[in-house]
Amino acid sequence: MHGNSQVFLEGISGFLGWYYVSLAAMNLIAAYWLWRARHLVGQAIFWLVVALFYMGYLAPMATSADPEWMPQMPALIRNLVNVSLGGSTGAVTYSVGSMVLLIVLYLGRRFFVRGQVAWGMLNLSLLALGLSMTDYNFYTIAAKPDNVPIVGLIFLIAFFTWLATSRAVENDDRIARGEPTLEHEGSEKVLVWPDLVYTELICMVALTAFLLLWGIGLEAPLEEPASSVKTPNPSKAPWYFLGLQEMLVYFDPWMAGVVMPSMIVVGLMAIPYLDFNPKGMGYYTIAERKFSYLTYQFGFLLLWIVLIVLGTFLRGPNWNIYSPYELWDVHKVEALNNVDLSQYFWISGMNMAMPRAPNGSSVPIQLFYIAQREWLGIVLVLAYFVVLPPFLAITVFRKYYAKMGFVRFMVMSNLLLFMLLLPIKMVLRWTVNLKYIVSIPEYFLNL
Amino acid sequence: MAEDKKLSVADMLAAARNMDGGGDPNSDAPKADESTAQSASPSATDAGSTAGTSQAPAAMKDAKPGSIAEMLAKAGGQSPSASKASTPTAESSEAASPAEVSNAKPGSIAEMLAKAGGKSSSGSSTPPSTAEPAKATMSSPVSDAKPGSIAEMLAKAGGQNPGSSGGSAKAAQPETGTESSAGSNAKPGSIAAMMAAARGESQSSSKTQAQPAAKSKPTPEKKSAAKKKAAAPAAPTERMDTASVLAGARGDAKRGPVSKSEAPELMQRKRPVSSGSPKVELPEMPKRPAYVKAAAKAGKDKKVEERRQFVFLSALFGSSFATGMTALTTTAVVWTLALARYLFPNVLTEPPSQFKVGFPDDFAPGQVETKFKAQFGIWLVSADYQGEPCIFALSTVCTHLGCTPNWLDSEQKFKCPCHGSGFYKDGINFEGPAPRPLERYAIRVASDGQLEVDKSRKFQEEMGQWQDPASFVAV
Repeated sequence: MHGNSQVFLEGISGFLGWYYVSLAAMNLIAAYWLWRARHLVGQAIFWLVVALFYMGYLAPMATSADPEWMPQMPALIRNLVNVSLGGSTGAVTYSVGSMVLLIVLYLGRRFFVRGQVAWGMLNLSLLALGLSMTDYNFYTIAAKPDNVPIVGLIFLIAFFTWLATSRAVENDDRIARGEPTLEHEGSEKVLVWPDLVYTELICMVALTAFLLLWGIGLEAPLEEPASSVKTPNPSKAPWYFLGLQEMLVYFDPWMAGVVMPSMIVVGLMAIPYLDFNPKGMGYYTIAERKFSYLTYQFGFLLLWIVLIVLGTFLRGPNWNIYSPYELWDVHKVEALNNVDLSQYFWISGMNMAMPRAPNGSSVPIQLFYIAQREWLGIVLVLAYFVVLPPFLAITVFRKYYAKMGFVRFMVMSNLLLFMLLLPIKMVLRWTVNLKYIVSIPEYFLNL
Repeated sequence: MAEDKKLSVADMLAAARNMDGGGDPNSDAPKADESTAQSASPSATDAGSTAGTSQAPAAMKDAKPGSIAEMLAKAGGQSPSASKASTPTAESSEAASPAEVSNAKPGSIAEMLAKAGGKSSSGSSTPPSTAEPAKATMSSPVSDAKPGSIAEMLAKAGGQNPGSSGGSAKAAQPETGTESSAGSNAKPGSIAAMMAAARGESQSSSKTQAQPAAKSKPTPEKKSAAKKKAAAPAAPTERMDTASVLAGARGDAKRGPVSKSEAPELMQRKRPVSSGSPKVELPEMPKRPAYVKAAAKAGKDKKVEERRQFVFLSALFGSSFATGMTALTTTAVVWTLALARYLFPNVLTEPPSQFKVGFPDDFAPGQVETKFKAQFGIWLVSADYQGEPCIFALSTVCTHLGCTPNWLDSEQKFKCPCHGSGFYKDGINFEGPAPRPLERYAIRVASDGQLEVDKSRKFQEEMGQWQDPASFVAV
């Protein structure tokens, strides 16, 4: 194993060396910019030192490919990650951890959007990526051509979220002071031709060149000819559908594959008709649109991006949860025994056999037995979608109900409840192994 | 003038729009009136000393007719004099300042537009950015002398209607003093001039309230009236849609959306119906000759059948278009039929739905035979189901989303790699999202003692079909 790992380290040492050199160059440029444009000598010196550390220590050590000296993620951290994410509660830890992280970022946004802090976080995450690359298990995931866009996506999402949040924070301050927002201040209208069209042309050419280089540099992840009897293990969807695939773990295919994607699309289209807040048009703001902002970020960052990352880095063979530093062992045993709510009720709760229609009974009698079997789940679902919206209207969303009116509020609250169904179901699956709340497999109706 | 170039396109368009509604009689901007009256006075005295508009052509000769804009400007200057009526356009008085015209060098079109805009917005006090250069140009009559833009032409055209119908006496002054000379100087070459002349003449007939009393000071009065036209529309600053701009060009009073309360008023003054215009009396149509009717009646009964056939054929092949569409439709129909035939091939290269898998003794109790998975898509399982040892054939399709699970011998379960569904050896789902057990195929002991699987029949546990004796073979 030692010899093999030596071969592996030598294989990636060149890449890592250039990686650290480019990080050094990035910090060098930042330091120069801080010095010349902003005249912040102290900060410039700090980032210069960071750049020298990359250039003088990490890059040559990484190039050496010596396991003694090669900068690696400390074993302590790797073991910690393996224990927290690789165990049976890995999904819970990951999801709750992501949510807590996002909440902390949101609450401390005034601190985190500062240039120094954001740049430091970028450096730390890039450093963590470089250090983790020396771990073979992590490398096989992150460097797979399928997954390279996801690694890029994480950084791009982080950047754009930072950009929007920093402008929103600045705008909120300006609005509080009664000044015009960043977007309204000195806004000079430009012409479509040539300003916009030229920009688009340049972007098009640059992007095409980038894609060409990408296509040459990273080989397409082609596999053997498809066979109806052999499914790759794990069988992962394209990266943009990994969130959908994760949804499918918790729902019936009809639900997660048809109903919920349709609800997402319809719901996004309905937003302009549901939105009654006239503020926040054409400029970034959080304070003036708190509900919209939080709902959107919850749906996008937590229920889509976090799930994509989960599907990429944590899902392994047999769709089990693996830590990013954990070996993909096909025979990893994960104790799961999913139980429907009706089984909980009748077998565990009432200590009875499940009601089952006698063989050869007619359809109405079968339906009656099904209703008797699943009554608890049906009542719960109806309460969730029928009783909860009016209840919300008179309690939490009283103001919203007054402003939106009956129909708009009902549409909005039902869309919101549908969105919340996903995390609710995930938590129920992880905590009490609940398979379906309503389970009518006879008619392909499972929720 | 340098400042004028800085005007953005939006400003120019705004100026053009303002010019369009030149004839707005609801000029509720007294400020604008005053300011224009003041600005008009120097050129007015100028014009008075040089005997009115008759000097205009002479001035034009001095100006270099290099640009189209200048040609238009000339046309604009001449058009009122060419028209015999008193057209209350701005140019009739503006052209009277020859020196300024000759000094004015035709710059870019933008400048021209800017000038036009500057003139119009001079009366408006609302946009401070445009008001500044506008005033600058106002003080020098140079800008006034350049009616270069199309917008201004439209303004002229529009300005005439309300001038006559709105009852403004100033606008309706006949200019007899300058008429003759102006008419002689009018160049018939420019289209604008001809159009203006045509309009002016038609207007002259309708003017009944002309007040000759104002004749003593014709030019200043006219100037102010003209200025009012140019200045008044600058008051509304809201942006207007295309329909409003056109409406303004037509001379409608109100631009922008019309409310219900305003509608009747607008309808009344929609277009001035010239009372004196001669009504065209058409002669009566000649009566149809009798032979035409007779011929039509005679042929009808006979040829109706032939005609129907002819109509049908000509609809299909009458023109090249019809022929093409007919051919296209025919091809599409044939192609669809061929496609339907393609779905039922002559030979199917699928494995047979009924096949023999060996003797029941070949399978040890508790064994899962996976060797038929690749070819037939089944697992042959010998296991206990509800306490009874039996052999059955399980489908290799996951009941969640149709992936192919794998048999993990060490864990004694089927496990799907797509979403993690797990099934016991007997096919019952126990983990992951699969909502129901794997499906069984029909199995029986054939006449030669071998097991025969029939994939054409399925048995689903949740439907209670696993009790069917065709779904298993008891060992």
